[in-house]
Amino acid sequence: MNTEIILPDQEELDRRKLAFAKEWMKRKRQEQQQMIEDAKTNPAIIAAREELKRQNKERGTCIIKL
Amino acid sequence: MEPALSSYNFKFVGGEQNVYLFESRLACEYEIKFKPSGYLVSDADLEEYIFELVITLSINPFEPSLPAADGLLAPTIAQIVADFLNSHERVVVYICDDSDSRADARRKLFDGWFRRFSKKRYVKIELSLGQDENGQDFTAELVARFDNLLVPRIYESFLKAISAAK
Repeated sequence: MNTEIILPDQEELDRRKLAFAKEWMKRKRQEQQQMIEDAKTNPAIIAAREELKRQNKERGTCIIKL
Repeated sequence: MEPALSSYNFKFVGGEQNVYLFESRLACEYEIKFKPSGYLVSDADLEEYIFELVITLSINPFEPSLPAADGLLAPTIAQIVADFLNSHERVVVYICDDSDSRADARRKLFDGWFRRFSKKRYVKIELSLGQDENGQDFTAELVARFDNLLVPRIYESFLKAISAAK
């Protein structure tokens, strides 16, 4: 049995790539907005922030040498 | 002489979306997550290995302005990515645009840091996704450990998922 695979042409591939990128970027922007909200309301993030601040205060700096 | 290598202290919060936090010397807080993103590949058996990197300035004391440029952001992000990639089969993918020059500058800093300090341990693949009607360019980047044998398959699968988009 012969099967023929029909591939989209370059113009169509470019259009799909761009559509994918736009949709992906839209989701990323929504995600970033949600993260800003979570920073104020998510108990796990608030607790982690307090712990990080405590550590940095104890060390006297928020910078670490690698 | 190479500058001393430093980054900000960071904390792994965890959760399903693998959240990390760090605070800058300007009291800005950044949240980074590695979101499981199986939809970015077309093969079901690879879905568990792909994670989207999302970075947000979550607390900005300078609002509505942005904080001044900070040379420690790029090495801190690179350290966090390295920490996440300790589990060697993971692949991190992110999308960038050039919608603000600050974002582009951050990316260039990250790329520069990556080239200088990480290229022997990690691979990074860039893929242009095109330019929209406003002249905005989109680029996707994949980062993985050098010893991750799944990278070629994941990259192929990622390309297939893009090509199948409507």
